[in-house]
Amino acid sequence: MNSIKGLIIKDLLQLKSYRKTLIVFILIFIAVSISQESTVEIGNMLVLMMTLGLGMFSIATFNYDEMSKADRYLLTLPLTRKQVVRAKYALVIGSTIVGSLIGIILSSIITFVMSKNVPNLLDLGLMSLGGILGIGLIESIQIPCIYKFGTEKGKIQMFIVTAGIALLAGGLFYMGEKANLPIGNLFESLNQFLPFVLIIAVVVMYGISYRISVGIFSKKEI
Amino acid sequence: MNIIISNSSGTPIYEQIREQIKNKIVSNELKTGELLPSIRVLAKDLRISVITTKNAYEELEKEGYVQTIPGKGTYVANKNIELIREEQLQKIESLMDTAVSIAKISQISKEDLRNMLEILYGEEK
Amino acid sequence: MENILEVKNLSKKYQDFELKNINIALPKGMIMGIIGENGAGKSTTIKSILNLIQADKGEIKIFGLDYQKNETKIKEDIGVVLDDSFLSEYLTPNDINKMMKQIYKNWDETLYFKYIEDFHLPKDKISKDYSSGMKMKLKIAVALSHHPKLLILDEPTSGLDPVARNEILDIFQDFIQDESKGILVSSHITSDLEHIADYITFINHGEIVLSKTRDELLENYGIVKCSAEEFQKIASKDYVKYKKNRYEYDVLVENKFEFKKKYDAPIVDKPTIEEIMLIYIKGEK
Repeated sequence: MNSIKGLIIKDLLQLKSYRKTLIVFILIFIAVSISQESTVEIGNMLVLMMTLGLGMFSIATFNYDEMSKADRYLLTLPLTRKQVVRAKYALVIGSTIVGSLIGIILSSIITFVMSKNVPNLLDLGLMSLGGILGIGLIESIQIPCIYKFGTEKGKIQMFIVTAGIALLAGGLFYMGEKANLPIGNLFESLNQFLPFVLIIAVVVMYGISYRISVGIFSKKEI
Repeated sequence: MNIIISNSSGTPIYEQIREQIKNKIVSNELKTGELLPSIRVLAKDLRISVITTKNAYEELEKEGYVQTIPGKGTYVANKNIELIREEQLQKIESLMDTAVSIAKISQISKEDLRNMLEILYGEEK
Repeated sequence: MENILEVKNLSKKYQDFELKNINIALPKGMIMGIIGENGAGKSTTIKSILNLIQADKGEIKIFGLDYQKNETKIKEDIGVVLDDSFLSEYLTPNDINKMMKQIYKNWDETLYFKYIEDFHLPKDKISKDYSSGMKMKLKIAVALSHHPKLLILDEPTSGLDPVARNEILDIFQDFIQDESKGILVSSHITSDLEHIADYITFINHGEIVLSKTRDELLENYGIVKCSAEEFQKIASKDYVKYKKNRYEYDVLVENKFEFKKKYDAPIVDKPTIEEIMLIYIKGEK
């Protein structure tokens, strides 16, 4: 456990030089959000942006590691390959969640200040779950791609995989429509369970991604 | 204690160390019972391999100049002064023998040889 | 004498390179230098020992333990410096301390900062702005601060000026004052190893061509310098390899004393490790 803590500390300290950028980034988000018309949109916007922003931010640590070939060095320390991968997932998932929490808090404050309305936390929560699902999907595809191909090539591979999945999903949806399957109804009926469905989907997604990454990294010649 | 190592001389380094320590023992610069630096410290100070210093000490031990007490270190052995003197005399005799035979071949007189010795001994001192 | 590191029949095949049957035995209290050209297999050997790459076959024991079965336990007690890989340059020595405290059970903060101070490294500056010598010193400080028993160093003196190299060689000899420890160090700067290494292992084209004590190599090996006619008289079994130069032949012999007895040798030079390496690589038999 300590080893993973050590690795996460390393990544967080590494991002320290980005602190100022991060604050500017948050201020811009707030500015953009405030320029929106309705407070609901402000809230949604902020939540999504913060989730995406912090998630992507943590992915940047892969670039740092790659620049100094840190993976090779890390494995000379008393760490297993699994721990190295696990620490990365903990960092990425953690920052994504923290990002969405910051988004909820900021948008609540802004909503309150601007319209004197009490923010609808349930809606914001659902929004952030949706955001985590979307961004989590990108991360889940991106991380194994980075482990397999490196950060540069990994980007291209990621787009191919994402596009592939999107096409597949779109294709299935289209075929379903054609075949007159009640897909619309399916979503309707899922609606009341939506939070649970989203949570399960996020967990499953990250789980599969983690397994794949461990598989790739364990066999990697470093 | 001074030990001077030359990398360019043809003499192996362990040999150089052995010779110099031996000379210091014979000249009584290193006294009986005195503790020598450990092989590791000496290796470090001279920037050479431990194996080299170990070789030198082993040779010295074989010849009876030093004594290694396991776990304690290497000491200058309680060497028979007479024996050392004997050894040195033998060495001098053989060198002088060479000198004399060269002198005889080149017809250099005993007188000249004695003068030379006189000068050399005086200067050396 | 007990070996702190043992490599037996290590082999690894790549498309364009092969490591063949590497055998290494490093006794406790000793420094072994691995020399060879760039691309000869030094780094591949070190990476295999550290289990960074998967060997095709071979047995590796560190502290008498199987290197894969006891990997993390072994790595608690190894200090590693890799030529081309370290933590991010966006970390300061302070940051690295915070991280390593969590990673090594034996991390010694006081010792670490003592090294940092001795090396004159600014504690709160990211290492990106360090000179290459300072970067190397930082790596070495980190490698030494958890009281390792074995140091594995890949090119630890590359990029250093002579003064810094000297300081670092001093540190290695200090480290080895404790007879239970050991150092495996690779370098293409042979003069560094010539001084401090107890054993020299020479790798060429993925194979070990020789592995001997420093003394055997430097005191017994000789380079005979002779003319073409004189060279013709030397029996092939009496030399290792020869190199034909414009004016003379350089002939590497394993034991210059025996050679001198047998042949009326004109000039027999005491070789440097570099010269031995050169004749091995460029010479013929």
